[in-house]
Amino acid sequence: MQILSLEVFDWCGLDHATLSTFSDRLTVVSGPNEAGKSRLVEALHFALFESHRGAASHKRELRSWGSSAAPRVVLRFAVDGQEFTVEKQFLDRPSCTLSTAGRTWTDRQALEELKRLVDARALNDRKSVAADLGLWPLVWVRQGRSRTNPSADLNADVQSTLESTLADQIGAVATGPVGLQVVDRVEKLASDFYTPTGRPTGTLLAATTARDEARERLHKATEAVSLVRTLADEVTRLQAKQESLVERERDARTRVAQARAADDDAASARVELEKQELIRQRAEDAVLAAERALEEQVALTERLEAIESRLSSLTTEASALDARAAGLEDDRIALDEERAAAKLLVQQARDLVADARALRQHTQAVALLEAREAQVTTAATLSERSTALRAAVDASPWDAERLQALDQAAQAATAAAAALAQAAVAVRFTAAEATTLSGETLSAGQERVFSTVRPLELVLPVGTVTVTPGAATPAEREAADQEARTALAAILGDCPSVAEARLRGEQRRDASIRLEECTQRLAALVPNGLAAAQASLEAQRDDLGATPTAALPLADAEQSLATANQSVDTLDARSTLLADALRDLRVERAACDTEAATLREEAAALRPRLDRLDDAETLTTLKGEAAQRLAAAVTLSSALRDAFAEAGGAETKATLRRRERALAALGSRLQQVRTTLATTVAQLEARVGEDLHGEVQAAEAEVTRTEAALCRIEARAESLRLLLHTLQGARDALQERLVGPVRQRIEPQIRRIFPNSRLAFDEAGRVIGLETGAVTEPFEKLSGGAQEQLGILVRMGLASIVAGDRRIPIVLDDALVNTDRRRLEAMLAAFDEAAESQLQVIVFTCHEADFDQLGADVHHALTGTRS
Amino acid sequence: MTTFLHTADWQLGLTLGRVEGDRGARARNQRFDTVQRIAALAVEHAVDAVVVPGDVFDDNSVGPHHVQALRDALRDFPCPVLLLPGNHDPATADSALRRLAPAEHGLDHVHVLLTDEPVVIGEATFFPAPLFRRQSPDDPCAGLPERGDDAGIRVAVAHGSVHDFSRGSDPNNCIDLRALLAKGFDFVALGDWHGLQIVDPRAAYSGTHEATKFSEKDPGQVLLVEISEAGATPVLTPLPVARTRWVAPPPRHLDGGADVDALLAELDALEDRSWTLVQLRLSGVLSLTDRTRLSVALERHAGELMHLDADLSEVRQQLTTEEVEQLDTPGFLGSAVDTLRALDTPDAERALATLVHLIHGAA
Repeated sequence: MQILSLEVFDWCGLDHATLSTFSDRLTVVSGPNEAGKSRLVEALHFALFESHRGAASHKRELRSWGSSAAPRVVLRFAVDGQEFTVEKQFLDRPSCTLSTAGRTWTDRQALEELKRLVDARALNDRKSVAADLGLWPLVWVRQGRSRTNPSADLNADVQSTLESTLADQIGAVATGPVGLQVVDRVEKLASDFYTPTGRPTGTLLAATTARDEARERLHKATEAVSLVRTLADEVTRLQAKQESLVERERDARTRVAQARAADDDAASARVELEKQELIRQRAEDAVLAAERALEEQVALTERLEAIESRLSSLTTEASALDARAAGLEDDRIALDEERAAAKLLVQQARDLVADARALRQHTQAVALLEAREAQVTTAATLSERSTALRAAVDASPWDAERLQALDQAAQAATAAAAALAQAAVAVRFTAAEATTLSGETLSAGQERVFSTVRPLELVLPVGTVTVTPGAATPAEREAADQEARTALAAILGDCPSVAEARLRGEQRRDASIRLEECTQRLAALVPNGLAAAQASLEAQRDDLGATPTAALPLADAEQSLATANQSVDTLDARSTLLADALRDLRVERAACDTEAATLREEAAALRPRLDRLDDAETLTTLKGEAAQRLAAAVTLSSALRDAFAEAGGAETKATLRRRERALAALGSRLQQVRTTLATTVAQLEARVGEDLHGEVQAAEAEVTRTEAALCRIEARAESLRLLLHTLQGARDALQERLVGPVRQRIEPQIRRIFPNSRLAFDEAGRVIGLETGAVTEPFEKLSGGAQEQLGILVRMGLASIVAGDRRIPIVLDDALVNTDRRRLEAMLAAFDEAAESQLQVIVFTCHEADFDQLGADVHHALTGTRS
Repeated sequence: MTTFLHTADWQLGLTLGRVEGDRGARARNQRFDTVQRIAALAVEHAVDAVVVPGDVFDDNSVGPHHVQALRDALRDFPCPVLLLPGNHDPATADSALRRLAPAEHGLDHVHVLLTDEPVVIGEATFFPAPLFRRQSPDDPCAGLPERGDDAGIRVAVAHGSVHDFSRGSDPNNCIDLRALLAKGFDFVALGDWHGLQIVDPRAAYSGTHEATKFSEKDPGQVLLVEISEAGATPVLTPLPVARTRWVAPPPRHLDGGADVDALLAELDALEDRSWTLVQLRLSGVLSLTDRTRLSVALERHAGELMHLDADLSEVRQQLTTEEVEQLDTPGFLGSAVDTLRALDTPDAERALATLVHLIHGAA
């Protein structure tokens, strides 16, 4: 379809306005505000889509203020190359005429034909205009509508057409209404099982909960039955325990009775036994008494006989002792005489020893004196040598200190001479013929050598030769040399040379060493001095006196003294032994007397006791009779003891006590078991009346039912989820393919303005905004400029896709008011490209200059104002 | 000569929870009603006694109304009834049989065998071997006496598994049947096995009077036992008594609509349907149409039968080419159908069925 011209009469304040031509590419209608642009856009709309009938408010507003003329519009357009003219008059005598070459339709027929031409579903129902006008809402961008999401103007017909067109282009079948319904239905079905995030909900959650609750009920019911069974088992166990305890208690009572009877029997036996034990004890005492009497009688008799015998022996022993004492006394007297003689000999030997010792001491003193005299003589010789050496040392001045000073002075003199020698000049003069030199006459061939450190003049007959040494300081070196020589001479003194001085120093050191040796030896020989030693020697000679005499040599004298002392000691020992023997005899003799007296006293005491006892024969008879009585008593006691032991002996009471305690314990345990049993039976009886089995089975059935239901529901839910995912996947894949041509058509223009973004589509393939990276910016969130730029580009793109080969107009009324200069250039380029394809672009604007660069083929400048 | 009815494992108080609602109540009550049918058989055959070797109650913790219901049912018996504690209702302190207390409720003909004290009825002496615990590794009949000088008819009443019979099963409460018969018993009335099983000319399980689960073989009968004299071989005559029918055909593989038709025809042919319980274990691969048809039909049968336990977890569904073509799924729906068909999992099959349903609904 192509708009060719538009003319209005009495139209919203416009008495008459004409847009005589429209380019099939680009047409700009400009003019200031109130120039009538939007009214003309409305006129286009009324000419094509509004019924001429009716006087609704939006139609009444068409009438010019204060005018009674009916609003009228005449539109020429072409469809598929055929030109049509539609003329509509509103409000007064409304009419509609559609004409083409050779044919005219009026009124309803005109509207029907017009509807067919514009490919609209209906033209006269204003409410359904957007839904029924096909593509027109998309390409008819009225003032203020440019920022609306194009998807809002994409009705179902266009959507379907678009999908079909795109599907045709990519060779696939579009989603279609059936597909959308199915997806919607599956989503609703799945929502009864899963939340959008995939969590169970609705029927699935309820089934899971029902299953869990059923399991819980079954668990509780089973536990109740288990409890009853446990109680029943416990009752059975307690009953068996009770029976066992009753039996055991009965046995325990019997055993207690038996123990009590045994204890009674044992008590009787014990009484008889105790009586017999007394009898046996008395018999045993009688036997013992008889035995003791007999033993005493025998012992007394034997003792008295022994005493008599011993007294006789003691008398004999006393006599012998007395004889031995007399002999010993005689021996003692003879020994005393021998001891006196021996002591005299000892005294004589001591005198001989003393004489011999005095002689030996004198001889030793003479020898010592002679030796001392030799030492004093040696000391005198050493003293003289020492005096001579000290004089030599003292006479020589060349001690070590002076020798050290000499060495230093000699070294200094040598060094100074060397320094001077370095500064000296040597001059050799050889006379070639006889001549004089400094007054000395020289013959031919005679030589003179001069060495000097000072300027020297050699006077020759023919002139004077002046020799000047080259050194810088000859005078100082000469003075130093002289000074060193003077110092060396001072140290040498009268010594002719340094070597001599050193020789003399060596000699002095040797003399000093020898002097030290002499002094040390002298001190050893005569520590107090030679004079004192000589005086002491003289005094010792005076003390020596005359030489004593001796009868025997000292050894012989000492041997004689030892022999005499030994003889005395032997006699003293014999005297001591003799005295001891004599004393022992006297003690032994006294003991004999004492023992005899004691024995006599004992015998005197024993005889009365013996007299009181029967004789041995009588006592033996009595003992035999008592022993017979004891044997009989022992036999009877043994028998009674056996009888007591047979009755249980001393254990019967302990056994009785133990069994009584056991019986009491059994009774207590039995009572406990009875109490517990009664309690347990009561608990059991309280539960057995319930239909627990029914509850268990009902719960089991419920678990089975809920599990089966859950299984079915889970299968249903899973299949729905699978179905939904499959459908969504298939739809997404298809939509991605479907939107491919849209992207291909629109996105080159999009990138001019939004270089890093691409179109974002919803699941129905509608543009919903821009994708930048992973972020989707909804259309509604874009800036105003971006909204109108993106909206117009999408509208043009979709329109061109839907139009296919047909040419259709796109009408933009003040569409880019929020667009900056740079983007406006891009948009104009997009308009131009759209016009080059199949869009008839008609721009109404109040910013005429903005579209200077568009290159519009037709430009209408409106100047009129509202009348 | 002695004649008695041998029945066992009444399992009174069993709720059969899988059968819900009124039908469950009917099934539960029928266990008591069938006891009364046994009483009628006792009258009909003029037996000397009715012997119930164990598991009279399903559990000792049954409610008092179950105990009372049994008392009421026992009043109809014209002869002594011997009730033995089994592993489900052992002679413990909470024994439900102990609570029955027949003597206190005017049921002098009812003998609760809580001890091994023999009971003499006519020419026969019944030797009970009650269980005192739910499970015991001991032979419950080990203490039964040998014949000795007894010249009468001797019948052992016991509950447990016989050695040869229970091989590989629960080792508890095992009965050495050979040793027991060697003690000179003319017949051993056994309980525990819910199906009729004659394990020896002189020993048999009567089975339960009303089945309790599908796996039981030949339940729902009682044995009429006739012993002419001591040492004579008993004459054993099974008598049907159950009201409910438990049908569990072998697992069936369905391969197409014909198999579905055959199965549904068999189900349609079932008689006495309100008393019939059916268990189906199905497998195979069906088209969506056949799978849906089968589900709808089974739903109908589940409503008519006393109980239908149909396991279709192994029945896979595959869209046929025609079904796919009929779907007319433009756009991504077709892609989704292809994806789900390729997955070939139960979840994918269910998802596909849902998708098909929704597509049809939307269309």
